[in-house]
Amino acid sequence: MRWFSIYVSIVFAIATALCQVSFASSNIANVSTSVHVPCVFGMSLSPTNPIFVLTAGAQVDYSIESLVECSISQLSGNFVLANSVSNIAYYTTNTVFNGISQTPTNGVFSIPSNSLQLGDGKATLTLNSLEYSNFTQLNYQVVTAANVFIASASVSPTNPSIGATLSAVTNVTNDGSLAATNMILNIMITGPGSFTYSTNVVLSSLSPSQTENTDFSINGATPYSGTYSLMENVSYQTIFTQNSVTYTLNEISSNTTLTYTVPSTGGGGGGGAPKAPLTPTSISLLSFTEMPLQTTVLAGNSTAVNLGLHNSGAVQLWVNITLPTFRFGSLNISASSILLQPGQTQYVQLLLTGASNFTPSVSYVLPINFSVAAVGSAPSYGQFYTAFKLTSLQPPSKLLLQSSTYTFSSTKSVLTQLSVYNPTNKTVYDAVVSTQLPTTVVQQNLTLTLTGESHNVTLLDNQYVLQWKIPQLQPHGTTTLTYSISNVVSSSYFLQPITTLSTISPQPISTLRVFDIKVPTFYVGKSSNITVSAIYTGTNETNITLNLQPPAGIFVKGQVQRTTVYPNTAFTTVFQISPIDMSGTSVFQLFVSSPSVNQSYVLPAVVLPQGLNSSSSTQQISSSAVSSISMYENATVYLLSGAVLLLVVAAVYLVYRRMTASTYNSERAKLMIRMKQRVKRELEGEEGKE
Amino acid sequence: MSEPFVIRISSQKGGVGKSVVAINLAAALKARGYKVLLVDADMSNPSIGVYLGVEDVNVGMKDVIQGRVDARRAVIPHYATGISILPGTISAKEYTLNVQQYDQAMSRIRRLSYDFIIVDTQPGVVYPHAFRNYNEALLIATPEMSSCLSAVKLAHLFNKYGLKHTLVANRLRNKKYEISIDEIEEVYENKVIALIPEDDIVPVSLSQHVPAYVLKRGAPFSKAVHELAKIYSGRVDVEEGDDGEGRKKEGGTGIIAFLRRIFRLR
Repeated sequence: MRWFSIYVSIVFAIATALCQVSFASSNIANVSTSVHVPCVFGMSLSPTNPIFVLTAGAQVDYSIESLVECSISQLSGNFVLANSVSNIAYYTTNTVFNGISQTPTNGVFSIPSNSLQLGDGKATLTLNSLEYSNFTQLNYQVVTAANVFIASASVSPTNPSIGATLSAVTNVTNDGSLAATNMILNIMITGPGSFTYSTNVVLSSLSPSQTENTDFSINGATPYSGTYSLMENVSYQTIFTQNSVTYTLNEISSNTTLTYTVPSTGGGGGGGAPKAPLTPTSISLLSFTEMPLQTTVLAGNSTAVNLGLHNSGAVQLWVNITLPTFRFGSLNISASSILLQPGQTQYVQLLLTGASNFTPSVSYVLPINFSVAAVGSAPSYGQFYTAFKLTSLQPPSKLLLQSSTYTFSSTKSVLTQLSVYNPTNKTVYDAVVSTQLPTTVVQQNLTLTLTGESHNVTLLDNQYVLQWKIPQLQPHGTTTLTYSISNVVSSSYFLQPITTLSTISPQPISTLRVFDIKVPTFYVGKSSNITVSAIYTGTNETNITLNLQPPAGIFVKGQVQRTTVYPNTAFTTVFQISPIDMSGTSVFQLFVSSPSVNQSYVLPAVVLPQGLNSSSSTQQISSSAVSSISMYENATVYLLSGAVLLLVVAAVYLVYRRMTASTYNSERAKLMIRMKQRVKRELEGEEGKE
Repeated sequence: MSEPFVIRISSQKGGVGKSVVAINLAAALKARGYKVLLVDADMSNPSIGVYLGVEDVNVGMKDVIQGRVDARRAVIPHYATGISILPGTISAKEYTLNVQQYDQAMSRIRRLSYDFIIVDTQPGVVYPHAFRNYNEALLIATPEMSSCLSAVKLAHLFNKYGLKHTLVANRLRNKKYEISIDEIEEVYENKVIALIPEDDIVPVSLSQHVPAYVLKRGAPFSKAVHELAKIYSGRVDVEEGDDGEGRKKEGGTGIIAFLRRIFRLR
């Protein structure tokens, strides 16, 4: 009984101590039940790190639910889209949700395309009840779909004979952010006598920043004499896949129109020098030292070019200049009547102004009329033509050929100046300017000289192709390119507008782009994940390899991962990092490669000692003081009470076992010993007898 | 071993669990990798064969004793356990054992190539002149006065003829009405080397003709037999406790063992 008393006392003391603790906790629980606990709720937005195509609009899924057993009659707030860099909101919609419970309320925010902005953004959903508020965010990216346009187009000959075959060259460029597929070049021709003709050419798919030159022949488009209009556009698709959902956008580029004229009585066949309005080098005693051949003018802007006049005679000359009027702009001259002394050279300026409304990509050949008269003599008349090209402000990939000038001297040499202008706010890279000269104009290649940037001349199909490569052109910058020809055969060619100006800029966008890398804060002894999101905008299915190289001593599960991707596909790769033993900074290297792309990234990762909390928090919770009583503390009370109960039951059982077990009985032991001794004596007695 | 270690399973009273202990000790030693022969030398009520399902035999220990059959031919294997059995034969006829024949038979049995030979004997019958064939006697007693006194009496006899013996307390319920182990050891004047609890697995195993040690290795009965087999296989001597009272420390050392002793949990 003594031992039993001690045992019971010990057990009772332990049980009492534990019950006091649980009682204290249950007191808190009792307090909590008398204090109102707000109905907290949680919410989320998905999908994770989406990419939206500007013209397709966006859809963001939401899910809202209460986190405890309660319901909320009404939640109000807003859903905002903002620029990630400037934090300026550009889309806001107010939201109200009724009857929120533990059963999730799911829905979709649909954002129209005209409410999206290009670039990185963040979507924020903020909701408030009477006593609690919460918000959640989602990072996204808005990209343009494929944007295909005709960078340049030409048809030759421009004066074909009846029945002649036309040769067309069209340069197509994609300056969007996604690949363009299923491309078709549509050609529609209208001509005299209600003539119509249409055909199409299938084009290859284009990655962002890629261009394609297409040569094709057109038969049967020169049945009559007269002027024909050839209009081209490109129809194409942007097919974009993310999170196993595919979007398809069908688009058509803007039109490009060319003209060609079939003369009534024959005409120059393809390959010979075309017949064109003559550009006189002199009228009577007046000679031209400088003459504008083609000028590009921005819509709504003006450009001035010089006209050089020289009196090559021994008498005074009166020069009167008459300018035409035309629909899409105006032409003004600094002086319309000039008296030139013998041997004098004077310059007048022509001011070309483009109207705001215009038919783009068309050159207008304007005749400028001259009358030249010696004092007291009858005038002589002449006309020269200048090409006037109106254009709008093109996307950054378009450079402007601002002016070209022809100088004809008595030595029969020609100097043409090409002024290339970048009208945008972005630096243009790797622009290529090219033009062609028929071999009939340039007798020998040696007489052709180019200056400015890096350049070359190649002979191709009876033409000299002149090319300049401009590696870099600053915003609003200008560079001048020239070519000169000595012993020129005919100056009339230089009236033809230079339609083969082509540019390739900006720097080509890689077909494989990593747009998000999530490197979390690591803790000593705990594993974590590094997530890489990328988008492939190539035009063919390809294999992508991602290799995350860890520093020494760290193991990455799935270090090298290979995946097959299709055009315009966004994908995410997860690398599992083994627990890191030491705190500090661990530097990982990520290598991303495909058959044509190699990229690398340095990823520093911060490793904190165990127990330190990350300073960043994505959830903002505002509530009153009562919210300090939480479900967490209630769970502790229950667990503690359960543990106490178990201990008490175990103690009682052990005491019961102790009480019912057999115990030493000294009286019984003495009895058995006496009986044993008697047996022993009997046996020994028998032995004695033996 | 060059010669087998022969254990005489002994008790003065019947019903103390001698045959059950013999069978399961044999199975436990077999599980430890020894070659074991189990001999049923109970002429009046042979139960080894009955318990293991080999009761229907034509030749047995009686035939070996009488010299009608060679001992090797009388041994049969028990496939469930792998032990070899020399069973007794059930007969309605009274049989009076010839001690000299018995002694010779045991000598022949000892020459068989086994590591252990466990002999289940008839309760209350002792042939001292045959003791030379045994290495040790294992006394079985239950925690009640008559069984303990009987075992003590047998122990005295073994002492007289120089046969080493040890005592096992069997069928323990740890109830208040039982004699405590301390009392048993005090009367026996030596330590009890094994405490085998009463366990429902025993009647279940008998009905299935499979030793409880094989049927359920984790049962308390099997665990106790396992410890007993360890003693024999390692020939570990029972150590004196250091509490000055000569008692063996039960259940090992440490806090758990201390608590088990305090609350008499076995």
